[in-house]
Amino acid sequence: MTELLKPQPQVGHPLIHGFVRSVRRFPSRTALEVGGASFTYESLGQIAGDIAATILDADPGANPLVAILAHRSLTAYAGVLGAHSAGKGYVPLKPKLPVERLSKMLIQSGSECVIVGEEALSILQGLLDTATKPLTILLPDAVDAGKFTVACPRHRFIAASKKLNPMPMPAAQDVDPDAVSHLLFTSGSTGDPKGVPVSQQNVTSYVSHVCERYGVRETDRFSQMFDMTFDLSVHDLFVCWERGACLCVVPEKSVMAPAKFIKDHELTMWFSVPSVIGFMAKMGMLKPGIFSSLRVSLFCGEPLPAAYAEAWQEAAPDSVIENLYGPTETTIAITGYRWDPIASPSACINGIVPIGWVFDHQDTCVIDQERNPVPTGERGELCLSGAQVTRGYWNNPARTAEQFIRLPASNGDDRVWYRTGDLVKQDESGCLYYLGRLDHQVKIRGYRVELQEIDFVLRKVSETEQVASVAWPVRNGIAEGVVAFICGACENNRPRILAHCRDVLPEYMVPRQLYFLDDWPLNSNGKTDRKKLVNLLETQGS
Amino acid sequence: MVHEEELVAQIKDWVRSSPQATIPAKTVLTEETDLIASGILDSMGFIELLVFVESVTGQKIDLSGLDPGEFTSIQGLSRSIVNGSSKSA
Repeated sequence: MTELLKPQPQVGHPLIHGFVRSVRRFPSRTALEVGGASFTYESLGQIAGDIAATILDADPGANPLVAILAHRSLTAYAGVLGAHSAGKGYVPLKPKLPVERLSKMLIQSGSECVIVGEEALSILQGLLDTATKPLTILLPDAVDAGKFTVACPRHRFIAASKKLNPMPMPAAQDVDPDAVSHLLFTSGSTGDPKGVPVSQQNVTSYVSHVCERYGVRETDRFSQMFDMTFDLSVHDLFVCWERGACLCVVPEKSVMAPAKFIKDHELTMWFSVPSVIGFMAKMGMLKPGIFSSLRVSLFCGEPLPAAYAEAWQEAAPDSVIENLYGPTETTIAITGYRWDPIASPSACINGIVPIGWVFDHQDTCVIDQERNPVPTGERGELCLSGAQVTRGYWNNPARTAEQFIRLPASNGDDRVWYRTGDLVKQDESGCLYYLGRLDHQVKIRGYRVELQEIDFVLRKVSETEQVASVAWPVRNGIAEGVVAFICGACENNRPRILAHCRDVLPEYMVPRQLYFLDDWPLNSNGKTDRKKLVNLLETQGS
Repeated sequence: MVHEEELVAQIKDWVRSSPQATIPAKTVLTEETDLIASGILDSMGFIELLVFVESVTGQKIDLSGLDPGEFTSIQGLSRSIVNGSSKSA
């Protein structure tokens, strides 16, 4: 092996270089297993090269982003690689999201080129009808685009039959380290999704650290559980391909409880939200030693209960278990805690596993309301800084200024810190303990949800100001869903309100129950008394 | 011991009456309908269905060795339970 082909730290290089190096080192190893088909590094590289060439032909201008409307298909994964090979970032759009929400994301991103998988063709016309400018649509799975050309004459369609010379691998494009790798949208309190652009350097910093941390190698077999709209999917794709490993895409029908998939596919690297442990435990799937192939199990996206870590360790006795933590704004995960079956139970607070120590080359600070550091062991808001921390929100300077700050006691230190809104405490060893949120943000199955966004939708449809959504039920420290209270609207409107919520909100944000109240509980400040609403739910035992 | 047909009927009644279940417009609920893929239940709603099934069968759910695609329909779940995948509590 030449020095050139050995894995090297990739900070400062385009993210795609990791995949390209794996194509050279392991051309015949499997890079991707999806929908019952396997693709080697060489074949996936060729497909991605085709897409890259088409992107550059169709969208050669300065627009930095390509949208990908696809889900758990070859086109979804080759589309990501194709976009990066063409020197562009990608904007994942999940076809199952409401069209209204997809439209907001597409328009906000400014993308002029969209890669569309076969699984999304049924919603394509509806989405294109909302476009504010002509778009170029790549249809790698369609032989003929005639139907769409007739129905949507404003837009240009390129079907698979229009073969271009593929891009040579490695990618010919130089990429600025600050260029956007991907643009993700999270729940926003104003009713619109909030864009978080994550740079090439943010991701290469993470990938470089994590590959070493877990000793990732070409024989590894990675789970791919997360939707591409969820930033944790970036770990699955790019950590796997950096070292020539195989990405095993869990089919939609298995995502809820993938025990059989883990066994059948002999996975070695697992990454999911902790809720999946709860689902599998409820279904009697976590037998002792059932996941003997796993050597690393990572959980992120919501608090990890100690009981879940214990259950998983029993099922995967040879696996390291780590609880990872990181907001989208700080790229995938930025702290980690390795579970120790003997020592860790006593380290948990309220039965929740610590979020651990910050990754190398990143930094933490715990501050009070005046933004001054708190003494060790005191509670405060967690702030993060370092190469993984993004630069701010997409086209939203006001929101950026609120969350990305300089600290007053920095003594000439001009670093920018991201305020997480997470309440933590840090012990003398630097270990961090998650204690809750400072605002109304909750996590539902790992998805970030601003309750105010749900309230915004409820106010509009029910035509009353007195609405409040609440994370409920909460078991083992994990919110399982959302319910909502409404005052001043007729209960007969329940079906209409729920139908509207389903039309505009992702499935995990739709209230599972609506409660219509005659009297609205207010606290001494005249604000909605959420504690009383929770008490109502507890009393009801719902 | 509960019979498969009996369990199918009980699950169907639960799905029709439970606040956790929503049958989308244009969706017909049959014994073969995938309750998750069709959007009738989310994953938490499905867990609540399992709690209901445990209560009527007196059996602890054990779906190990199965893929969710095999038991997310009313027919598939009933068959999985009755065919001995589950154990007495």
